[in-house]
Amino acid sequence: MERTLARGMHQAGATRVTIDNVRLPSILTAIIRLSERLAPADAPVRICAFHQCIPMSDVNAQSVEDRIAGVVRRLLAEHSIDRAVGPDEDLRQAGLSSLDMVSLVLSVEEEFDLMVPEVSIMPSNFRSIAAIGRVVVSLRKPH
Amino acid sequence: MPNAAVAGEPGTLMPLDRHAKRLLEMIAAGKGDTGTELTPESMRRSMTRLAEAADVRSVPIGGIEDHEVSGPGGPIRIRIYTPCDVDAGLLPCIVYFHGGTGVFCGIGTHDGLCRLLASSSGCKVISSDYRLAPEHPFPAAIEDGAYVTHWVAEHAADLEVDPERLVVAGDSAGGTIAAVICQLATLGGGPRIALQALLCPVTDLAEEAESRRAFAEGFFIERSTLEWAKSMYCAGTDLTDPRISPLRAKSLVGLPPAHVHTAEFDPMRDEGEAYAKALAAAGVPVRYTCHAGLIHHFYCMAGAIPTGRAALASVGAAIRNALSAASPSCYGSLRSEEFDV
Repeated sequence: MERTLARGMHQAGATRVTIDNVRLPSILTAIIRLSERLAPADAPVRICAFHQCIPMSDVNAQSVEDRIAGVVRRLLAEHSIDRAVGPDEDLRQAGLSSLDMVSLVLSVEEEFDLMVPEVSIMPSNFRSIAAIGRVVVSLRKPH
Repeated sequence: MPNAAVAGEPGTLMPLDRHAKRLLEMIAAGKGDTGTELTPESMRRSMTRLAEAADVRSVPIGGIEDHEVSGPGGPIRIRIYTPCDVDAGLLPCIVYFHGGTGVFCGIGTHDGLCRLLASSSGCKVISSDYRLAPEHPFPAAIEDGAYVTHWVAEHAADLEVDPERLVVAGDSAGGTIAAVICQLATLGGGPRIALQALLCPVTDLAEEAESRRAFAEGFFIERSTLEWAKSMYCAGTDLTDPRISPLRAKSLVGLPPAHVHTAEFDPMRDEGEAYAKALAAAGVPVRYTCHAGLIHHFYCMAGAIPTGRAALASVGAAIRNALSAASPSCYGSLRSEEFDV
């Protein structure tokens, strides 16, 4: 459920949140519905009120996955491959070569302004969007 | 040059640069069956994407212009880089040929390299495309390279460059082109070339030197890729033809002074060094540098390999020094890590 919410946030560019099919605690749902009615449809929706109800790591993970999917899509577009890649789909099977892996990792690093330590650069960490997402989330955690 | 070392001598091998190592780890992480077949087109696209991700950025440049030259096989794209803060008067000029096994890459993939070369050398850099295999196998690339070099020499005044300070340079297969152009110019037909600057050049496709075996796999460009490209570029030609393997030329006497750069962990390291030694044996002033800890193609991934950026800047600085020196004495003032041969 958190995924649906987060995807809505991402796609709406944080201006409007679609919450219809999210099972939130009823009191929270009511508050959000009320705030939606009070706010104009195109007005920024403050979502910080219910951050505490949704594990931040999951929200971030979804947003991170979306951004990684964007990087993958741009890479595949370079190869004239225009299709959605599932979060657990093998990126090599999707059409990325080993050289493309360099481009992918460097682009992900740039996207999130981080550096993947050498120890984390292994096939299992980069075989899918979800796997890369886990690496990014773990690197973004405050230490 | 702090990062230089004489590779191949026992005890002087440096560890692989950690940023270069990281890139190699990324390639290794992507190994395995892929959903796509390796084709010239797929390789060209991968190299374009790699350049976008790894090329050096934020290099100040005075100006960039794209042009086309009417070559023997059709239009040839060239890109002219003018450095910042140049003095009035004619600039020295580097005619640059990108690498890519003769099958892939182009002026776009080597954009950052040429910017950095222009800014560090103070030269106007004219980066040239050439026809690629398999559509246009050998000797199309050599013909185009020679044509552009002559064209630049003939149009020096229009280009506002000094024909007396013409440098021919290139990396990898582009290094082959540069080396061959110097040989052809010396054999007759000119033009006069003040300096040749070769980065990790391919000089011998007829025989596999030790470094080609030692770094056959896992060092950016693999033996299988090299063989695949060679079969398309050479397309049945005699591999001892000096226009394919310039190390095989009967004589190197009278060739322009040379800067030869190799990378320590590069399959092409030994043939680059062998060419430097052969030139020196023929009486050509040579400045040889093996860049410690670096890999093939480092110069196009200098955005991801900081020491590669420094090494590339040193390539340009060496050209600047050589062109400003009145005599070849600059070849005798090297630090101990490098050797002049």
